[in-house]
Amino acid sequence: MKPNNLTRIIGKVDDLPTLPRTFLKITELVNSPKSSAQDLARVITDDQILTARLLKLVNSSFYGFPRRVSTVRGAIVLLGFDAIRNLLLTTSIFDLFSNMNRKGKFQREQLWDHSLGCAVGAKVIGGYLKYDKIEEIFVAGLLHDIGKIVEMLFLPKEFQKIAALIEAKDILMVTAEESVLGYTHAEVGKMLAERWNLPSKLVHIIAHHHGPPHAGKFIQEAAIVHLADILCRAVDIGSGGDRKMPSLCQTAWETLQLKVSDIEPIVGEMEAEFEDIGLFVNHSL
Amino acid sequence: MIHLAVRNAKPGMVLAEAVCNLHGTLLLKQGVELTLRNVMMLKSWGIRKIFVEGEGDEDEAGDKKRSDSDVAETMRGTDYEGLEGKFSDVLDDEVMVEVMRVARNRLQRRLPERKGNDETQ
Repeated sequence: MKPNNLTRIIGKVDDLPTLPRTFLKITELVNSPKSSAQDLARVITDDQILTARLLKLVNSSFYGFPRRVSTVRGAIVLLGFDAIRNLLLTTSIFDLFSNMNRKGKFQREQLWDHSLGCAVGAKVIGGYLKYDKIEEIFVAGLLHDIGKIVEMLFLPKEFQKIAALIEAKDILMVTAEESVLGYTHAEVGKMLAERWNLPSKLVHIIAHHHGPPHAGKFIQEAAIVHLADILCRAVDIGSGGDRKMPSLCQTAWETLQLKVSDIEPIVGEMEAEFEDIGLFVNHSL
Repeated sequence: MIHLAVRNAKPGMVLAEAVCNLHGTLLLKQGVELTLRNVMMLKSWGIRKIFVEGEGDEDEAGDKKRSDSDVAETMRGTDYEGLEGKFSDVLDDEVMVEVMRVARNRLQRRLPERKGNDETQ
């Protein structure tokens, strides 16, 4: 670990162009048992862009409600608090990927696809496990590699070195990161998630998606994202930045209690859903 | 009444039971005729199984049809040689062997001209 480098990133994290204050306020409200749909609606309607997006999303075919939803309050009542928070987080993350400078556009798009694929994969695996917080696990998948985005933005030289090392030696990105930086995107992502005050579960999943047993009580969630990540890499949904498969953590696999024969149908569902949601996310936001 | 995986649902099928989401909100009423759009909506809500009208076992034809759907070519980087290299360090694990088999199947669908060569491996 090279603390100087990490500190340098920490100092810049506040510059990241996402997660508006509104989001933090919304998180607070969602977490408080006392808040009502009216309270939440007030915060959202203060932000015109969020309001427009929310209504657009709620009325899109993605949710497919039979009648038109014209008020934010109506949207909240229909979707529920957690869903609203996750939906807003999703749109904020999309901004993070799209607002960056034009350099490395292809890489970024590949990483976005990988993240979206992993989100969809986590959702599908969650479905198999009858996991009840499907939207949360979706967001976790979307965010798992957020540390790579931070490296791309704030350590461009080092990131290039990492890419060159991967190219030359055909190694995993984490190995190249360890060699160039002394730490990995998982640690950077954890730091960012903590900075953003994301729920502890998300912080743990981001930090330990390569080593779920370290995620403590969130081992199941980290294992879901771990497997989704592996499956996305296997069938090339986007690119995580290298061309090697990371090994599957045995403890994580045992935690999931899936059968080997579940892999094929899970991948099938992932691909189908990725097409649906990919079209939606790329063209509707 | 058939208990059907949503992924195998087809437009024109009629719901034998209403479908609700996790929050208990009604998504589709009993008797609704499925459209492509509302099948997609059910998937987006994470609904996995539905009851549709009719008799017999779950229709497996849906799986076949879906697996043929074309995949965005630009997202796909690996070729056959790449696949071997990609998995070379992890094949001591039976799960990863299966993951590689599934990945190879996907590749064969995308690159049918190489199918003959690689099936022999």
